Amino acid sequence: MMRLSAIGVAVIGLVVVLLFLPDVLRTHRESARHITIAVSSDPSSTPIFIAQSRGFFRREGIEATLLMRSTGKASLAAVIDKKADFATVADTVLMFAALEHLDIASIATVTESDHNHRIMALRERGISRPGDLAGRKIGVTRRTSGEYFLYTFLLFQGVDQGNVTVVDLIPEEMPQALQDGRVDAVATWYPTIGRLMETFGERGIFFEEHSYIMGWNIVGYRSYLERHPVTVQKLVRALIEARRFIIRNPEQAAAVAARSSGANFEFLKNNWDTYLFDVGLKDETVVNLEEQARWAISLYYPGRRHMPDFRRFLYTEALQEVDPAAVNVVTERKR
Amino acid sequence: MKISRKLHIVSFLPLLTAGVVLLLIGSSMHRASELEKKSGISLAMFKAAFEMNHRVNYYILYREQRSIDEWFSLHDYLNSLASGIRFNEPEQDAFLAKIRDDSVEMKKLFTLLTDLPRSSRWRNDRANFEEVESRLTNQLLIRTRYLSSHALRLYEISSRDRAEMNSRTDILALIMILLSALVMVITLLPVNRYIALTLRKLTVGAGRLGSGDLDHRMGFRSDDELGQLAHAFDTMAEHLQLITVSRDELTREMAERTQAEMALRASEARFRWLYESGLIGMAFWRMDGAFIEGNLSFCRLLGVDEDELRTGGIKWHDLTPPELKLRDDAALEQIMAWGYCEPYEKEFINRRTGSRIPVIISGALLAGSRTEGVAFAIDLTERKRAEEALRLSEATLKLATESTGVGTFDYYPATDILVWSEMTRRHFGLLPDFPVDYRTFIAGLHPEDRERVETMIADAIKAHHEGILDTEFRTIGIHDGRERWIAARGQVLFDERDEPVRLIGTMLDVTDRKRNEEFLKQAMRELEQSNRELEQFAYVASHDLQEPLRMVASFVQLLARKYHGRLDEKADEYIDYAVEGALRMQKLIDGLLAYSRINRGAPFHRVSINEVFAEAVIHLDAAIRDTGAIVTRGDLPVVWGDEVQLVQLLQNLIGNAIKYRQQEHPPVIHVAAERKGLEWICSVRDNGIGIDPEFFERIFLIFQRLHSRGAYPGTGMGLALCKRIIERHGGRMWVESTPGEGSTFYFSIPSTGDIGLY
Repeated sequence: MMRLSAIGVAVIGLVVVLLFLPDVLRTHRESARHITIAVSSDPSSTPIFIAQSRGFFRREGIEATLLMRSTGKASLAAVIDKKADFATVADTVLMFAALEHLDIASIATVTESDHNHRIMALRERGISRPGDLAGRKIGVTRRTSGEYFLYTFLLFQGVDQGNVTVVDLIPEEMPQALQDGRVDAVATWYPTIGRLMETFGERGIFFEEHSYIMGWNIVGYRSYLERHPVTVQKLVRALIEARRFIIRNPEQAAAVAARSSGANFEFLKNNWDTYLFDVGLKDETVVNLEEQARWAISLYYPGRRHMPDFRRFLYTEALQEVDPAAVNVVTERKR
Repeated sequence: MKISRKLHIVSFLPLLTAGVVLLLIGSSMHRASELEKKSGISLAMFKAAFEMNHRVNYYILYREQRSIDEWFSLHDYLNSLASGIRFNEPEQDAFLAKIRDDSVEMKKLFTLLTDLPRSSRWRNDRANFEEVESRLTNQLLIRTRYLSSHALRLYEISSRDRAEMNSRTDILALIMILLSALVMVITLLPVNRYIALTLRKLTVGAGRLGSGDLDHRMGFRSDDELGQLAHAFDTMAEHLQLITVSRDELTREMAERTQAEMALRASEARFRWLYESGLIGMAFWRMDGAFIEGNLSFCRLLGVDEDELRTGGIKWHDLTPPELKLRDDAALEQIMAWGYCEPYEKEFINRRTGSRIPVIISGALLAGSRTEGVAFAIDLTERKRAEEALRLSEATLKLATESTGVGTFDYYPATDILVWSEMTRRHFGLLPDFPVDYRTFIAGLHPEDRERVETMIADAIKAHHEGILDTEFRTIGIHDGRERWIAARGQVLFDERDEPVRLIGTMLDVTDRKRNEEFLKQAMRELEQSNRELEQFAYVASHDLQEPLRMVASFVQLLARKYHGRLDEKADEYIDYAVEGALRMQKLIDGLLAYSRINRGAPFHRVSINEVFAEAVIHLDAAIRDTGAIVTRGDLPVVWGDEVQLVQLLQNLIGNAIKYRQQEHPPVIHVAAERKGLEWICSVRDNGIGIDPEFFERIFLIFQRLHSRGAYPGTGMGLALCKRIIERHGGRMWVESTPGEGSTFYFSIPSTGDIGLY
């Protein structure tokens, strides 16, 4: 009997060791690393908020500091300024970075949404339908997803792109610009849209068009990513864990997102289904970036003839290591 | 619970497990089928999106209505697929929702795209038309791509879920099987063990029952089949025991009866043997006083033969001395009252010899009879003779002891009874009839001896002591006031528990002997005092005499030297005599002084006789060389003694041996020693002239000489000194000699402890 008990204890002990051995080895391979992530205060950044608040980063051995920014563009600027290692950006920002020849790469697209952007106009300016936007001044944050959304919106609505005046505004300037008549409408994203709705109430009118599928990416300098592959893997692993949590606990996740991004919780909860949280690097992202690049080149780089190879702006190695099924990018044929 | 039920339950377990496993597998298969279906739908949506993509391309290339129609058909198909499917997991639902949104947006875009050529706005603006068409086409393709990706992701998730579920099902089934096996083992093992143990008990029990141990029971109770079997065994054993007990009782009764008959026969045989053996006399009698039958021994007592007795004509009254008839009457009365009488002594007058035969006799009525009885008689003739002899012997002993003054005592400590003989009473000066006990004895002792004697008696009667009392004490003469010395010797007798029972012994009046001893001691003390005074006198005399003698001798020698030849011859002769006498007297006084000094010698210490011998030989060196004497020794001991005196001893003895040598050959002298018991016997053997045995004692006396001073000069003190020295050392001295052959002087000296030959 004593012998059986001893064998049982030994077997249990062995199982416990085998269960925890990979974690122990992994912890030993790379000590805890401190990273700084510049996060745009957008509900699309929810995986970052969850990973931080639920301790998934720490569990992976990462001490993460979040630098909150109002836009993805500002977040990327923090990386460029060496204030952060990673940034959360919409694919549009990534596309512009590529066009600017910045050595930036996405380690994963974490959120996908075609409901994130809207156009708000003031009824008092005689705007009641999308067609009324023709000939108006529309405020956008240039070189962001907001500007691309405005483009696709006008395209879908059959409004001539050249018949609107685009005014460059950062989100914080928009209410005042609307108020003082510098613009008649703004094209922007949550949570700025929410705040505008609260500010202008019935005065405002909103137009939405699911014309733009925004991919929300975690980007960093490629050189940094290549120097810290294990840290990137840990980051990706924490994001996957956060995504799992979001899917299983949508309301709790929405609460965290609202608190972290400054969005209205009720509004966010009701529109939570419009966000698709999925960690991956997909070929459609490349296609989307290429289409956006065609628009951007025609607008900002008229003489440019060559399209960047956007696959080079996807850092697939980490996700490939952590979850190979999440990587679906047509790779370049080896010569 | 019955074993069969337990086994049924246990056998039901595999069925239960199989059922659960089947349910699991069925549920799993059902779920797998659903997932298969869902993944199939997902794949179908993916394919539809792919086909729709183609149709968009065909439309852009060929502008055919067929491509538009097919696209919408595919879109409807896609919608039907997306709306006909339901997922329960939020992850899949999210992707499905996206697919539906994508589908809506795709339709919107494709409608925009296909309506674009019909719009009048672009009729004159071909360049912008192509631009917008191109952008819309790209947006449509992007959206289609997203839908494909979402459908593919849904397919992957469904496939992953199916695989996970299959794996979970497999593991669950395996766990169920293992669990079932474990439960079976846990359940079956005790049952198996119980059955095995119980069967073993039953086997052993059956074996014991078979071997005749009907008291054995299985000893366990349970409601199951084995318990019932055990109960049946026990019941069977009880029945068998009842049957066997009845048989055994019958057998035992028969055996007892047979045994009783045999005992009766044996008893009859023993009685017959007793009757016929003649060890005791036995006779049957009638109440009228007649003997009607008797054995040979009884007949001999009476001096009749057996036939004569059987006539019934012999009556005991006729054969009983008149003075003893009353005893017979009393016995007969006792028999009538009690059925028997106690043994009593009487005498029969032997008809044949007329002599009286002392007997001890007893009688009893025969069983069931009031008129006839049996009598037993034992001839006491020999015992009476022995008693008479003993009485005479005791009287003789008493006479003997009393006449020698030896009194006896007999004391019983437990009861404090003290019996004294007449002589002992006299030893204590008691009046003849005065009662004695232990207190009388103590009171009769001299007060100075009382405590000592009491202690000695107390010690003697203690357990594990020899119990011997041997002492002397004084009595005070309780009634005559005369003090006596009594020597008492006694022996305590102990019982088996080592308790003192009796103290018996003798007391002898030793008053006269004590007086004599006291007188003798006094005489010895006076003698020793006299000896000491005499010794002192001899010492003082010889010492004090030496000085005037030395003066006389000196002046006589001076007179001889100064006036020799001046006076007449007679005067010279007288002076020579006076000088010689003075010198001899001086030697005698020296000898006497030496003799008296022996007891004043040095204290004893370890003395090696070997060294003593060497010292003596050195002193005699001149004489040895002059006579050519050969002086040897054996191994001589180490003793306690006075070394100076022992040197003088050996020097005297060896010197005597040289002095009394034979003239024909040189003296050969050997000194030896031999251990005998607790003493050493030393010898000095020579080959001298020897000594006649009649002088063996005399030679050791002081101033005794066997030869004239002319033949052998000397004072006659030498051997006396030797003997005195040896006596001081606790030894003896003697001589063995044959005249003309030589002498051997022996002396003994005590050996002590570790001191031996060195």
